[in-house]
Amino acid sequence: MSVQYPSQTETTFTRMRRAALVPTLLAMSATAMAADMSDVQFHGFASQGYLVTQDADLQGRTSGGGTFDFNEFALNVTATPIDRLRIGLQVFAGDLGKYGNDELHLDWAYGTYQVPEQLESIDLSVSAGRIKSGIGLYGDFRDLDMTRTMVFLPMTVYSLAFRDISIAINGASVAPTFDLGSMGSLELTLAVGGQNFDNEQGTPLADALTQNGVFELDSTDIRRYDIANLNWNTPLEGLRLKGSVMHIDDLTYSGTNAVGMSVDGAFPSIMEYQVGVEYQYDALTLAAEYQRLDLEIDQTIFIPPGTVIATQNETTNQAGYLLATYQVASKWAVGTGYNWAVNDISAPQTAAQQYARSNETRGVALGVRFDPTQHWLIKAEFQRNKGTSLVDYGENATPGLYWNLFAIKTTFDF
Amino acid sequence: MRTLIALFALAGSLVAADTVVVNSASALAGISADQFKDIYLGRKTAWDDGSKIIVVLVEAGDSNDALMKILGKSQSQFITSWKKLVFTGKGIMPDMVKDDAAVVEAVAKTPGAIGFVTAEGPAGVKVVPLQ
Repeated sequence: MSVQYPSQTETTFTRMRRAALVPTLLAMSATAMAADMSDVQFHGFASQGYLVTQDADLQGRTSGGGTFDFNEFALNVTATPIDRLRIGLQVFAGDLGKYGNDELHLDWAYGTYQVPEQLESIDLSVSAGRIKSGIGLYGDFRDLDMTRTMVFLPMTVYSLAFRDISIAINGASVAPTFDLGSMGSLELTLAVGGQNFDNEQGTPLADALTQNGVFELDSTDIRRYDIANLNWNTPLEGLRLKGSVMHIDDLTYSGTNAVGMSVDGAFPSIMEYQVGVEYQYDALTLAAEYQRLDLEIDQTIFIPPGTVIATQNETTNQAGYLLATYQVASKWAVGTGYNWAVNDISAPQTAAQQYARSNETRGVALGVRFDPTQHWLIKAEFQRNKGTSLVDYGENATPGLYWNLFAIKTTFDF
Repeated sequence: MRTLIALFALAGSLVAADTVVVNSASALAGISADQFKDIYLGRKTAWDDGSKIIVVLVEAGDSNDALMKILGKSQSQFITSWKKLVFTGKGIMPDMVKDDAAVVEAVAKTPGAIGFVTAEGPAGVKVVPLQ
């Protein structure tokens, strides 16, 4: 097994590129605000954090001296060229540990048409392009540091490793909103499409499919990607319930390596169910979500001269969290949360994995946020976790049963 | 003493009236509290004839405080809800201006605009009752 690390030159180059990106964004923001018109708007954000863990590593080397490879940048433009039509796109670059490396990519790019009202109680819109998946209460906002008190969304539900595959799909959606009168309103979104994900080495999904680089992926494909979201804004002011279902049909991949081994694999079906509730009362926000992920895995490995290892199994992962945040003053907010995950792992585990409970995580988090201005924030978070289903065994094969995380982050937006 | 307090309260309510204004070309005769909330929270982005809604508000001060009270949000919650829309491509940020006069001026010159002020009797715009 080999894990590929960026060279010192690549790391330095990445840092230089990032250093150049911040002033560029700030300069663009001044221009963008000057160019702000009612029909076209430019917005963006830049986040930079510091992350350190103790007794385990998270997506690369984060223990010891910690890492500044923890940032996000985005720029977007949105316009309403004609009545009923809104179009826009956002480019995004991020870095978290060994993943991301500030590679610029299209985050979303779509148009939405508001269909002329046919029935008084139903608003209907259709969208097409690269559209946000909207899974869960906060799936659309996972990169938007300015929209939450905590540094991280609960990691057991909003997986850092699979952000790229769950953030958006390429396709179309239809979104009727039903006015239920005294029962509130119901927002339904049905989306169908596909997904193209980066099959280069060093992405979370590629690492997972290749057992951290045993193979080099030659091809990847997703036949179809379907999402349904149902959000109910209840009659009780501030209370909403949301349910999401995601289905990936036939994710296939193949790869080879230098010694002639090859792999052909497929996830014939990946189903994710997520239900959540959020209640906002005055300065207090309470949220809870439950997630279940059902995976079918079918993989065949060929080892020359004639060994064939075929595995086929089904796995169910479950996760959830409770979260409370409170705006204590106009510029200060605090938060706390508990999150958990249990993965059904049928593969044999090493003694270290068994000791560290590599199939589960239970953790508590404390966070504080300070907003010096409406467009600039600073926040910090501490986590105490038990179990290591989230940690990077490639960096530390013997993590502790208990591990800690501390993160501090600042975000500017315009 | 009670009479005096009541008189002060009445005077306060008279000088600070919640007023919804729209561009004078608008056919809107009145607006329900739910419709008003939907517009100011970015859930409704087009008028019934399909033309786009331009939301205008005062960025801070009495009018902003009164607006947040109607919306049931703090200023930071309001801003956050709009940032969620803006950074997911689902909305265009409202026009936030310095004072009531600027709201009235913006609404007066922008077709499809809606504004909220606490000033009474604004000129050059159409006042619509909040029902």
